[in-house]
Amino acid sequence: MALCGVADTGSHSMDKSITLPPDEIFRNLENAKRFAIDIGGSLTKLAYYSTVQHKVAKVRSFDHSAKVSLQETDGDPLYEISVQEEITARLHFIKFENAYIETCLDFIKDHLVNTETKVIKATGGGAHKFKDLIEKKLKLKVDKEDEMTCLIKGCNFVLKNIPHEAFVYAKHADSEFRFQHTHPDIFPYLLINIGSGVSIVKVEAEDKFERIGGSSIGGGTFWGLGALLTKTKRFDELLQLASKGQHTNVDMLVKDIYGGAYGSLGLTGDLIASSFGKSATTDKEFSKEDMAKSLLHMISNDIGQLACLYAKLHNLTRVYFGGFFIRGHPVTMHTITYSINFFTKGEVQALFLRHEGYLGAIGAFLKGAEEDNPNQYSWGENYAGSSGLMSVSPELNPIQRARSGTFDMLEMDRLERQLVNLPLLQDATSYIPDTVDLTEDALAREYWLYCFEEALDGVVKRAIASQKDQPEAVERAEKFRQKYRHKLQTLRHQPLLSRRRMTWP
Amino acid sequence: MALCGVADTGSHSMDKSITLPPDEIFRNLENAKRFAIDIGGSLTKLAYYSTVQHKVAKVRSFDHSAKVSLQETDGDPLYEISVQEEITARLHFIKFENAYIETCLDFIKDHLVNTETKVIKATGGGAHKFKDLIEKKLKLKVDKEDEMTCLIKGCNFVLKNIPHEAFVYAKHADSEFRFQHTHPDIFPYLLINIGSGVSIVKVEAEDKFERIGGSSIGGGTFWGLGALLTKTKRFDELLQLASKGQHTNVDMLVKDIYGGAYGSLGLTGDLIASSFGKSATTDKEFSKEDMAKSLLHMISNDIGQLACLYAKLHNLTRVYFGGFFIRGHPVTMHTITYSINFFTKGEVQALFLRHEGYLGAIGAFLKGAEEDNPNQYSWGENYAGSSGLMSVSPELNPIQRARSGTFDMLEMDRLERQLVNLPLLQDATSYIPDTVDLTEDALAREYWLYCFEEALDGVVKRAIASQKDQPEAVERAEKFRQKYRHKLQTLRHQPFAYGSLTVRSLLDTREHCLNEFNFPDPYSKIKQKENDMALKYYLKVVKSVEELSWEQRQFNLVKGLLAGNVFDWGAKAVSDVLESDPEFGFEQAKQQLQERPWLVDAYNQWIERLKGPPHKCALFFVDNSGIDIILGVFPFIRELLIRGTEVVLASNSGPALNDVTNSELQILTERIAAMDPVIHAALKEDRLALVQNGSSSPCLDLSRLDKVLATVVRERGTDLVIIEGMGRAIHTNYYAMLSCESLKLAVIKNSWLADRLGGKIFSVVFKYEVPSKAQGQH
Repeated sequence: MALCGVADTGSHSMDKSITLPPDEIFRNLENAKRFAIDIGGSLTKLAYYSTVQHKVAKVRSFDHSAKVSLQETDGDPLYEISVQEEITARLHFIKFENAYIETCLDFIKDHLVNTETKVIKATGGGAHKFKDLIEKKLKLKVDKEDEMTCLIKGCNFVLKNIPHEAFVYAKHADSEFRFQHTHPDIFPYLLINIGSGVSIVKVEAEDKFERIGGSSIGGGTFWGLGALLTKTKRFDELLQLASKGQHTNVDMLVKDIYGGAYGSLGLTGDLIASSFGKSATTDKEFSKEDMAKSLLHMISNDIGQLACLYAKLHNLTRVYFGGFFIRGHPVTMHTITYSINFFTKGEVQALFLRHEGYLGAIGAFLKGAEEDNPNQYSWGENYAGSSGLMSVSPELNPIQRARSGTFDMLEMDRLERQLVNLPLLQDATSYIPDTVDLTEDALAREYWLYCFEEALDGVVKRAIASQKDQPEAVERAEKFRQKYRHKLQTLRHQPLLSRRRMTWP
Repeated sequence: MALCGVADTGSHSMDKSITLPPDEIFRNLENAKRFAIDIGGSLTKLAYYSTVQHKVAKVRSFDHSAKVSLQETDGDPLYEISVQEEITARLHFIKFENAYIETCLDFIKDHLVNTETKVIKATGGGAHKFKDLIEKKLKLKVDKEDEMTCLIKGCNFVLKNIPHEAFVYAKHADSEFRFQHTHPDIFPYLLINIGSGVSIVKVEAEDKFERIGGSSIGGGTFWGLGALLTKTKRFDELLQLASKGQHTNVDMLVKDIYGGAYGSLGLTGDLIASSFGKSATTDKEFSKEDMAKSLLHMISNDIGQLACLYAKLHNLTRVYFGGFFIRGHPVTMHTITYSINFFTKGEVQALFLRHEGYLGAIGAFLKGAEEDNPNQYSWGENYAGSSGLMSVSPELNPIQRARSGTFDMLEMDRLERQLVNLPLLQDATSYIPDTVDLTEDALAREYWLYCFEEALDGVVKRAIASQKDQPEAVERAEKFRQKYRHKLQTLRHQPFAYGSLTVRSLLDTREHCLNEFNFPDPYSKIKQKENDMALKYYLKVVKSVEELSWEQRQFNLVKGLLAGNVFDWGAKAVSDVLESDPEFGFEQAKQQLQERPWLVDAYNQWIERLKGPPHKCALFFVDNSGIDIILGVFPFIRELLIRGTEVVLASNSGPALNDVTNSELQILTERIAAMDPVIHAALKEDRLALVQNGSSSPCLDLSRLDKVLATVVRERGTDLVIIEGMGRAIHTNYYAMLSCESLKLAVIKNSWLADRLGGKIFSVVFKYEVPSKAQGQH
C-alpha cells in the first residue's frame, strides 16, 4: 500500500509521513536475519531476509493401486486436497527518510526475535555517521561494505531477477515508461550513478567492474548552485522550480548569436550555445524557475555527453542511470534522455531502473548473505508487498513532497526452482512473453482494468467458498478485495500506469 | 612597442588606453589592401596586407673583364655596394577594444590610399552588428565569412608559419611557458575553442575539419553564472576573483564524504566529488572568490574531460585550446592544463597558441587573399612590429585591466622563398634548433640579456658608421637603440614574449629592429674591406698548405678553418680586438687557438674517415665574410674537391652581422675561381655549387631552409654536412641529429659560454658524428 496510499491523499502527505506505520512496513521481522542498511544523504534503505510461513494448497493422489479398473473410482474424488504451512524465503527492502531512522531502529529492536544475527552490513555515505546509533540500538555490529561494490551487486541482482526492471523514459510518448524485457545476459553495461557527483562505472561481470570516469558536475552541483541562485534549499523544490522554468531566458542559444541555425556546422538555432550565457551580459533579473531549468539542462546535457563518450569509447550500448539526481524524477529522466538521444543520435538509449534507490542496500545485503548463495536462486518480486513507481505528473500528485515524507517497499520471494529460458526460443534476447502492453494501449488498458474490477466480486466469493470451514476467511477475503482494488485504482491513475509493464491477463 | 609600453606603466594603463595611438598601430596603411575584420564580443581584430618599401644593401661585381691580372685590381674595392629600395609583402594584424572601432575606422579611411580595395572580409559574432558602420565609413562592401572556417584557416596558418607558436603552460615550472617547435606536419589536431560555449573541432587537412563535439558549459557559463553568484559583471574581474579563491570551501571533496581517499576506486581525498556540493546543505555565506574559483574549476575540468575523451575517440594527441576563456589568461590555462593532465594521465598535453586571438582575423584575411596564394609562401613573424605575449603575474602587471584597455599587434613578413626541412635531419619532428632555451635557464638568460644590452652601443655606433653619408642616420640609430632596448627589457620581465627565448631570437630581433629603421646591412662595408684583404692572401695560403704532407695538410686546413672563424664580429671579445687592432692577423689567430686535445675533439676520427673513400657531396653552412670564408673555408673545400667530393656552399639569403651573404659569396667565388684553377674547374663542372639558405639570421634553423637548397641536397646525394661557427653550430644545432655524417666546428669566443662548456675562451669544438644507422651504407 505504502506510498500509493499516501500519494493519493495528496496534500495530507506531510501529516501521514509523521505516522510512519512501522508494522506495515517492517513485515516478517520475527524471523528476520542478515540485515543490511544503506544510509544516503537523506534516505535510509534497510534490507533484511526473513522466512515467511504461509499456507499452500497441496494435492495428493489417493492410493488407487488396490482398485482394478478405472470404472471403480466413480464417485470418489480423484485426488486429495490439503492445506499445508510452507516456509519460503523473502527479501524485504524498505526505504524511509533519515529522520525516522531512530524510530525505525527502535521498532526493529522490539520486534526482532531471531538472535542469531550478530552483524548488520552497512554502506552509503551516512553509514559512519549512524554507526554508533545502530550498534547501540540493535546490538548488532556494523560491518561497512564498499559503496560502489554494493551498488553494482544490487544492480546486477535487480537486472537479473526483476523482469521489466529497466525502462526507457519518453515524456511525450503515449506511455512515458517503456519497460525493457530482461535479457538473459546483462553484461557488459555502463552505470552512471549521479549522486552528489557522477561516477561512470563499466560492469563486465558479476564481480568485475571499473570506475572509468566521473564528473564533479552532478546532483550536488544542481542542488548547491541551485540553492545559491534561487535561495531554495530543498532539492525537490528546486526540481519543481525547474519544471516550471524557461531555460531560453537564461541560456544563450545558437540563434541568439547567429540569428538562426549555424548550418555549416550542423547546429540548429535552438541549441544551447552557452548555458547561462545571457546572464553574462544582461543586467536584468532572472526568475528562479528559469535559472533552475537552465541549471538542470546544463547538468543533464553534460552528464549525457560524458555518458555517450564513455559508452562509445568502451563500446557499450546499455547505459543505466541512477543516483538521487535521477531517482524517479521525471524531469531529470527527461533531460538525461533528451541529452543521450541528442549526443548519440539515438544509437544509445538512456535506461533507468525501477528499484534504483535500493541498489546499495540490496548489494550490501547480498554481500552479507553470500553464504546463502542468493545468486544461485531465482527471485520474484512480490507485487503484494511492494510499492509502485512514482507518479509522473506533479499536477496530479505532489509527488516530490509526498515522497520525501514517506516510505517505500520492495519484497522479493525466493522461487523454489531456478528459472531459465526455454532452449527452443528462436531469440531469447528479443522474446517478449506478453502479447499486448497495456501501458501503450490505452483502450485495451481501460477495458481490462474495468474487466478485472468487475470480476473482483466473483473472485472474492470464490475465495471465501474455498475456505468454508474457516470463519475468518470472509475477513481476509475482504482485505484481499481492498488491496487488489487499490492496486487497480493505482494502476488506473498512475503514470500511464505505474511501475512494471502492464499486460493482460 | 605597443602593448609592452602600456603594460609597464601599470596602473596608468586606463588613461593610456584612451589615447590609442593610431599612427603607431596602423602601419603601412598607404599600401594596404585586402582588409579583413573579426569582431568578437569585446575585441576587434583587423588584418590587412600591405607592401613595405625598405632599403636593402646589394652587392654588384665590378666589371673586371677588362683587367688582365689580379695585381691590377689593387686599391680598387672588390665589388660595389649599393642600397636599393625593395618592396616586400607584410601582413598586419591589430587587436583593439570594440569601443575604439569607430575611431579606428576613421583613421583607416583617412590614410587609405589604395583604392583598388572594394571589399572587407568580416567574421565573428559582432560582424553583422558593425556591418553598416564599416560600409559607411570605409566605403567597402562587408563580405561575411564563416567563423569556424576562418578560425581553422588562421590556426593552420600560424602553426605552419610561426615557430614556437604553440606552448605548454606549467604554472609551477621554472618557466611557465614551454614552447613547442613547429612540426612540419601539423595535421591532424584537435582545436577546443572555448568562447561563450565550447566547440571541439577535428582538423585533418588544410580544408578538412569537422565539429565533432561541443558543450554549452563554456566561457559564457563562467561569466554568466559568475555574474549571478558574485554580482561581478566583468569577465576579467571574475578571473581575478577566482585566482584568489579557495574552491575547497564550496566544493564537496572526496574526503568530505568518505573522510579520506576512496582507495578502491582510486579517488584521492582532495578530488572534487561535487562542484558546489557544500552549498547544497550549508546555510553559510560563501565568499565571491571561493565561488568564482569553484566555478572555474568546474568548467575547466569539464572541458578538460570532454577534450580528452574526444581526443581518445579520434586518436588525436595534439590538442590546442583557444577562445576568449583561454586567451592568455594564466589562471584558465593552468586549470585546463591540470584537467588534461589529470584525465589523460599525461598522455595528452594541453597546447595553447601565442596568437590565438588573431586566428579568426587571419583566417578571414586568407579567405579574401586566396588569389594571392598566401599558403604558397612562407611567412615569418616580424619581431620588430609585433607585441609580445602577455605577462603572467597579475601582481607584477595588472595585465587583465591593461590588456582590455589597450591594443596588440602582429606583423608577418612574406619571405622571399619557401622554407622547408633539411632532408638530412634524422627526425624532423623532434628537431629543435636551439641548444639552450633561455626561458628555462634563468642564469643563461640573465647573462645573454646583459650581453646584448652591453653590445647595443657598439651596434648603434656600427649602424651610424655604415651610413656616414646620411646625417639623419644618427636619429634613426637612436630610435633603433630605444626599440631594441625596450624589447630586451620586455624580455627580461616576460622571457616568453616571443615564444622560446634563445640566443637566436635575440639576434633575430636585433636584425628585425635594424631593418625596421633602415639599417639593412650595417656591416656591408666592413665585409667588403675584409673580403678584399683576405683575397690577397688566398693564393699564399693555398700554396703553403699544398707543400705539407697529407696528414699535416689535413690538420692545417682544419686549423685554418677554425682560425678563420675567430674573425667574427658577432662575438663581443673578437669585435673588441678587431676594433682596437685591425692588424690582428690570420697567423695570430691560429696561435690563439687552443692546443689539442680540444674541448670537443673528434679530430682523430675525422682523419681516419678521410683515409677512407671520398664523400659523395658535402653541404657546408658557411659563417663569416673575409678571412673565415676566403682563407678558412675555401682551402678546406678545395681539398674536398680534389678528393672527388662535390661541395655545396650554403650562405645567408640576407645580411646578418658580418656573415657572408649569398650574393657576396657569388662574387667572391668568381674572384677565387679566376685565381685558382681547382675552384674554376669545379665551378665549371658543377662540382661546386652555391645556394642560399633562406635565412637572414646569424643562427641556423634546419627546419626552415630554402626549398632549392633541399632539392640540391637531395639530388646530389649529400652525405656530409659541415656547420661552422658559434651561431650555427653552438647556439643552434649543437645537438641536431643528422642522417648522414656531420662536422660541427666553432671557436668559443665568449668567455661565459666557454666557462659553461667547461673550457676557456678560444676553446675549440670539433664535433664529428656518424649516425649509427648510416654506417652500414658505406
